Amino acid sequence: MKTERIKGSFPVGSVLALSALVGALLVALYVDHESGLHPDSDSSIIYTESVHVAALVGGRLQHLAVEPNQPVHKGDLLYQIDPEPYEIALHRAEASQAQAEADLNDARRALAVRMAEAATSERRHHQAEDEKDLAWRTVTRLKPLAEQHYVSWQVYDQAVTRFNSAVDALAEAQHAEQASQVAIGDVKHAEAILKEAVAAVEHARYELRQTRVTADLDGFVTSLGVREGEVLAANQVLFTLVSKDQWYALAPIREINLAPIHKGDCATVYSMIDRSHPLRGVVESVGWGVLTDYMKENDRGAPYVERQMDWVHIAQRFPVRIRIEHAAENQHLLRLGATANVEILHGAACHA
Amino acid sequence: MKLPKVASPCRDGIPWWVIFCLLGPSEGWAWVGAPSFPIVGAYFPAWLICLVIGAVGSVLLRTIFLALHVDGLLRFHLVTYLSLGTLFGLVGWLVLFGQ
Repeated sequence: MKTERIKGSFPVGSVLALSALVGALLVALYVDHESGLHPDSDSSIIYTESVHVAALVGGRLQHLAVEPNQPVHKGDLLYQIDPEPYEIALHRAEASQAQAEADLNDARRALAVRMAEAATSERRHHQAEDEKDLAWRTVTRLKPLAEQHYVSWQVYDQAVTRFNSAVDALAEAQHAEQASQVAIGDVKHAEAILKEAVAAVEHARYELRQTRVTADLDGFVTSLGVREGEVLAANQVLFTLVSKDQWYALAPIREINLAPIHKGDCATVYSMIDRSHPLRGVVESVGWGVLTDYMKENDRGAPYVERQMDWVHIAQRFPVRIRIEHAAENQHLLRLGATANVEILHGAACHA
Repeated sequence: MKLPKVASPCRDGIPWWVIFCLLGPSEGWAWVGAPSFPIVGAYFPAWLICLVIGAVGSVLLRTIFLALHVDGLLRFHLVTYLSLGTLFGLVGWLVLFGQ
């Protein structure tokens, strides 16, 4: 059928075309504006903290109490390293402690003996003083008698000699007393050795305890691929424990869209494990840094600047950390590294 | 497909269906789920779906207009159908994924 167009009549076709064009432009602007206010990301991931499980001591893996992907609770036994070498080490340390205790007792006895000897020396010193005094008194008494010839000079000379001997004996006794006082000393050396032995026992007990590895958090066992019998070095990671206490979505958001995002904002998170189930999330923080080509490592330490003449620059994205609420009820949707869709400040979960 | 249930966006003075049609309350379209669609193991973004909606919409409009003999009234067919298709896609975006 042919439709006729009459010249000069109302230009319906042109008006329709113009209104459609203007309408499309206006709606496009509106959609752009709305999208800017509600940033979203379809390349987010589900994230949680994880712990590398390792024993601080090495040895043969004697008992493995968990299976791959098994849930564990805080405090559960994960695995046991052969404790025998550490028990032997503990016994040895205990024996050393007993020896150090015995040595300390010996040292205390020897100290008591030396103190008694010092006391004896002191008494000998006093005795020598008394004898010197007596000899001096004898000399002074005999001198006038010898001068008046009541006693012979021989007797007087003998008394003087005895006095001189007494002086020498006194000096000797003084030196002996000083030496015995110095020789008393103390038992600090033996006490220090005992302390060292006690510390060695504590260390051996600690190492023995470390042969039992327990879970530090509630979570799931991942990347476990060995059985009993494996010989482990100290600090060797056996598997990873994925925490299930708190789950997050890490949403890379373009820098131009970061402005409306604030801590505490609502977010809708879809784990692609079940894309029909919205999870409610709360913005916790926005990443303060990402690595760029500009910061590439180099040997000289000078900044690395690429030669380029790009006209179009792709927007940098920063990871926004979103805490997922009610994670425990939705555990089946939450696996570390799962793809997620995040809608910040809008989406199904933010209307409820 | 679940029936759309409209809960909150009945603001004073504006009929609920106007808001429903313009903004597309997400409670009503919650069954759409995440704005990302898996096709043989790859996720396609929502805007790609809206591109398809726009393209299909403009083809559909062209068919309807031809059937109703409206097509003959139009001038600048390319611009008109392109704009109408764009409108379809954008409104589809607002209804399905907006707010």
